[in-house]
Amino acid sequence: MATTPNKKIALGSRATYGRLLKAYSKIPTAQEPARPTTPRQSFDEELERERRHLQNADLAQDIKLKKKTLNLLFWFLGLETVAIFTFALLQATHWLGFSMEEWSFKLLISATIAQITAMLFVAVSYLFPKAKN
Amino acid sequence: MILSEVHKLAEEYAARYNPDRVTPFPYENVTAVCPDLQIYFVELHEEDVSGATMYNQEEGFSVIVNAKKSENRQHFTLAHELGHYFLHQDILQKESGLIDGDDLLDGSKILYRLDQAEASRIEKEANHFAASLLMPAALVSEAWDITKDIEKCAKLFKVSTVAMSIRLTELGLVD
Repeated sequence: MATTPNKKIALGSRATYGRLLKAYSKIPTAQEPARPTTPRQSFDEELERERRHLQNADLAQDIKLKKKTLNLLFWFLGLETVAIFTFALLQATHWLGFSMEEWSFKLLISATIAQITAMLFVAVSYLFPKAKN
Repeated sequence: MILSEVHKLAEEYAARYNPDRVTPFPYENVTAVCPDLQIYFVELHEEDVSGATMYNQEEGFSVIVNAKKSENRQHFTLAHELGHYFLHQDILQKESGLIDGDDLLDGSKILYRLDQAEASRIEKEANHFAASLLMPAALVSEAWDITKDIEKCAKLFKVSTVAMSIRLTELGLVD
């Protein structure tokens, strides 16, 4: 049916155009009209799938970020706890001449415990927010 | 015909022949109600030809799509040829057919024997018709609102990213 196998044609050439027109006019008598072979897909379903995919991707990214932040926070709180225990140990043993005023030490311990509790509360609230109605 | 009218007409045809909003465009719905139109997917050996619309009195109109091209290209070519069928039947009958060169869909080269201005006009109309038929404005806006991604939109509509970016620009959704 085709005239010249796999050949680049001279665009705009009147002779080529006429030759192709003649060749292509034989196609309808040479073969059956096409029947759809490509499956039809619902645009709305595809869009909904894409929407859900994006939501999942957002969620995954959110979880990843939260995990990273919480990891850093727990490391920080862990180190802070170790530091405060060290202070307490030094205060108790007066090792290397370490000695703090009683009220300063109490204030430091109380403030640190309060800070750790507050940070844990914030972290947990952020990680497990209360479901909205 | 002014291009806004072409777009309006194509959107009407899209709603009429694709009421279930499926992709690729269900051309069988057109041939079912247009007995003078047949569609053929043929592996044309001329690599520069993407499609053609032929006419003769016995067979009526025959749209030929080069099946060697990529699927997305075939979808656009088919819509482009349907544009010729719906908009340029008088020219098709007079000339016995129109053959569209590969670069023609981008509007740069013409494989046609009308004068350049006339050819440019009808090809431009067919391209705009194809764009609106395959990518109706409302659906494109809907898809863009969700994805904000040209490639994802192109995949949804089963067209090339070039065709999608042109359409998005036309609709003012991207710069």
